[in-house]
Amino acid sequence: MADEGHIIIVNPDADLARYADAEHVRRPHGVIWVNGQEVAQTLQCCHCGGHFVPRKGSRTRRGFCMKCEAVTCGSADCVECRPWVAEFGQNFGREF
Amino acid sequence: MPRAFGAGWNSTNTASTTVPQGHLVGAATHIVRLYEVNTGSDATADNAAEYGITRTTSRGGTSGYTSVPAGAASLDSTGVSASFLDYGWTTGLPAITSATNYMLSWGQHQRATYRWVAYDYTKMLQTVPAAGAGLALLSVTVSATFNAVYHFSWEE
Repeated sequence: MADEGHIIIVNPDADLARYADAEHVRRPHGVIWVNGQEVAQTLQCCHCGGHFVPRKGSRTRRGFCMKCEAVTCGSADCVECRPWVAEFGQNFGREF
Repeated sequence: MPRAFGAGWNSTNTASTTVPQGHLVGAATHIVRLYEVNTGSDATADNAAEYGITRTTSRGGTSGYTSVPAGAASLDSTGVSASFLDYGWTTGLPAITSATNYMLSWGQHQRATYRWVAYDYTKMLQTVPAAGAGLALLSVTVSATFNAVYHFSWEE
């Protein structure tokens, strides 16, 4: 997954504000807390295994693999269907 | 059956894409699965940093770093782990797969605490099933370096 291009912040309150546009997902793959407060959820790319925060209006192009029936991070390396669970010898089955 | 381990350490978070802040690596053919990341700082100045977790292909040299003992009696009856959490390199750096593509990245203020947890066992950050493959925590950008405190929880 490509670097999301975080900006450096110098205000502690901005740690919470930076996730103000984080999109709620019905079935999250990971959860982020800042200062003990849940601020965002992550999705895992089914091809590289990396996690990303889906953001409303970010214009970041993500993808969806019809074979895996799961989201991808949108990286050029993850366009081709190469599920990390298969590459790593893991057999969890389909997205659920 | 997977065994769970955890290790905490601290390090001055000098920005570098070659010297990790920490490196979680499995021995031999052990796959490590990172399911929780906690980061913060024990200092109070107003600085900020960006971190990223990326894959590695080797542990590096046999010396030149500090290795945190992994495992605890409460987690594992033997207290023995086949994985290592290394940090504080002077030589023997691990081989980082990519310094620009991260499996997880985040920005963080020094006064804040950050916690990421995988939702279930299928969503953990995994290493590839190869000897010496691991996960490195990089300090990508810092406004001014400070002592950062980290804790990883993982299965192997």
